[in-house]
Parts: sequence; structure tokens; C-alpha cells
Amino acid sequence: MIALLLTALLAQASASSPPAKPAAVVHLRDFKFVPATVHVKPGDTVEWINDDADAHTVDSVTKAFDSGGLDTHESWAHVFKTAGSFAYFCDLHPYMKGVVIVEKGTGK
Amino acid sequence: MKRTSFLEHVGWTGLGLVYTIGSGGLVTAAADAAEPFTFVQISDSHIGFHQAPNTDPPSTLRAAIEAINALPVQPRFVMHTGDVTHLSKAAEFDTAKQLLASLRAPLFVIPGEHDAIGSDGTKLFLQNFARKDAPQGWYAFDLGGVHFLSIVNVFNFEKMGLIGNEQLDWIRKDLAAQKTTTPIVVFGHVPLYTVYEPWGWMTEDGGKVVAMLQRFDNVTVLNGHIHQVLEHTEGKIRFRTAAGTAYPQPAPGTAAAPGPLKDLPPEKLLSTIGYRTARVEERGQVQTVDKMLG
Repeated sequence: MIALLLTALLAQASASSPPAKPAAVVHLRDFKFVPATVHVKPGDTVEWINDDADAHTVDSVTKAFDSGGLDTHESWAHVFKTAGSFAYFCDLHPYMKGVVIVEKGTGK
Repeated sequence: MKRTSFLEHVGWTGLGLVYTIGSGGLVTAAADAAEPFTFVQISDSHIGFHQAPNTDPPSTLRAAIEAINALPVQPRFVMHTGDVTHLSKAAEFDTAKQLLASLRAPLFVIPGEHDAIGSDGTKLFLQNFARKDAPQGWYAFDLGGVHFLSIVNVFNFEKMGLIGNEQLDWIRKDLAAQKTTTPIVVFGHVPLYTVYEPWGWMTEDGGKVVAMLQRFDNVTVLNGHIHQVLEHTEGKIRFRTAAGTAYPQPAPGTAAAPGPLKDLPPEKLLSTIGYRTARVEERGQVQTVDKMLG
């Protein structure tokens, strides 16, 4: 019985475990991505947090990823699995631009 | 109000127009009156926004609608020039639709960029507000001797505002069929001229439409997007941006960035948001009056 309970608890813990800690955090602040360029490794997670009073988005220029609308204080994360340079912008304010550089090497 | 009855409310109901779809999909209509008339522009309602300086945009949109419904002479139509919603969410469109359904006058809506976030946002906007005879979102109509043109400059991926070649071709054909003396009124969300480039307050290919409009004697261009009343003239073309019904933004270049004026004292909000009445005079001149809610 105790073993069953422990198994159930472990399964629950696994199912609700938080996403991987981001290797980089980008703030959307004063209509800019801060920092505008981040360097990560394959498998790393990048998180974006909207600090502005207005809404923003994080849209890949190649449409590889798309956050949808991010409300004030809302965050969104994406895992970059392969090496490369991933340019992105805000769909609502296209002059807001950033890039994620995923460098070859040992990642997660 | 049921969806079907709302769609009847959007567009032509009550205008008493006869309209046809001509070659090239151009929508034309026979004017039914030569007497002066009024219409109303509202804009930037941002249903779903919930921060300072306005934590309840539905209530301020409702106040604007009630003021319009109380006008002694009802406008022939109300045009919402976009950003009905804040995040293009289905629930936001639904709330906006419910509120706008209480307008007494017929309603037209064109999208702002906040109504077109991702492909889902654009789809939801068109489902909720596109006219059946103009599923792409842009259209033209005639009323009281005036030619009205509603354009969309927020649908392009990675550039905003941008009209795009398909719509530019349609505008070119539409305007080619108009007399130089016909008064022209153009609606759009983002200003067609460059208000302030560092904040993206411009339409990249807006100059092409402005060039097409130069030959007309009397042109009025009505936009939203920047949440404030600005007036600008180029030759015979008068540009008027409108206040929103949700919140004001800073004057061009007067802050580090655009966005809601979050430090606005609460008691000043209603004096910065509202709606616009436009009276078309006998000779087709459009006289606009901006009416704030407080």
C-alpha cells in the first residue's frame, strides 16, 4: 500500500515538474528585447518576460516559433534543439528585434 | 444578440444602400442621399487590456456607445478603426461584439494589429467582423455622394503597417473609377503618413496610396492606432488620427517608448478617450469633431 502511494506521488511529481530552468532570460522592456542577443547551447531553454504595459509577441522570422500575444507580466519559453542563429521580432512592433544564437557544443 | 443577427448589424443594415460587386470584386453602391449627413469613428478599444490607466476598457467602450446612441441625430454608420481587442483572443472578440451590438447605427469594423496576432487572430477577426461580400477585410462603398474606402494595413507578417501589393492593386482600380470631384474618405488603422518612424507610427507603403489620392479635390483620411487626435495636411489631403476608447499614448517622441500612459491620474482618463463625429457637408467636405468622454 505504501509502495503504491509512493509510486503515485512520484508519478504526480514527475507530471507536474517545472520546465527546465532557462539558460537565458530576455525581458521585453520599453519596446526592446533586453538583451537583444543571447547565446545558448542546443537543448537550452530561453524565456521571454513582458515587462511592458503594452502587449508584445516573440515571432521567429522563419515562423519556426511564435509566442502568441504576451500580456503584461506574462512569460513564454522555447527550447532550441539545434545549433544556428534564430532571428525574431515582435509582431505588434516589428522594429523590436532580437536573435538567439545556439552554438554548437555540449548542451542538455 | 445571436451571431447571425449581429452580422446583419455589421455593415449595410439600415443604410438603405443598393450595392453590387463589380468586376474585380469591387464593391460599389448607389448613393441614396445628397443631403448632409454624419457618421462616427471610434477606435482602439483594446478589450482585454487590464492595466493602468484603464483597468476596465469594456466600461469605457460602453460609455462611448451610450454617448453615440444618445446623439440627437443618429449617424448613418459607425466605423471602428481597429484594435477592438488587445490580444486577439476569442473571449475578447466576443465581449467586444456583444458591446458593439448595442449601437443603434450600422457598424463597420476594420482590424488593428492587436486584432490580427498570429493566423488565429486574423481568422477570429474576419469571422467576427468581416463582411460576407469582402472576406479579405477591405472594401469600398458610396454614401451621399462620398466614396468611402476601408483599407487594411496590419495583415502583413513582419511589417506593420503595410498594405501590400494585392490591396494596392485593388485600391488603384477602385480609385481609377472615381471622378476627381468626388469626395473621398479613407479609413485605416495605422496612419498612412509617417507620424513618427522610430515608434513605427507609419505605413511603409502608405505613400503609394497618398500618391493615388493626390488628384482628388477633397480627401479625408481617418486613422486610429496612436490613441490621440492629430491633424496633418498634405496638399488637398487631410489626415486625422483619432483618440481611442481605452487609453491615451504619449505624443510622438515625448517618451522613451510608446504604450499606455500608465501614470495618467485616474481622474484624467475620460478626458483623453472618446469618439469622433464627422459631418459631411453639401459639397462633400468632412468636418470632424472629437468628443471626449469626460
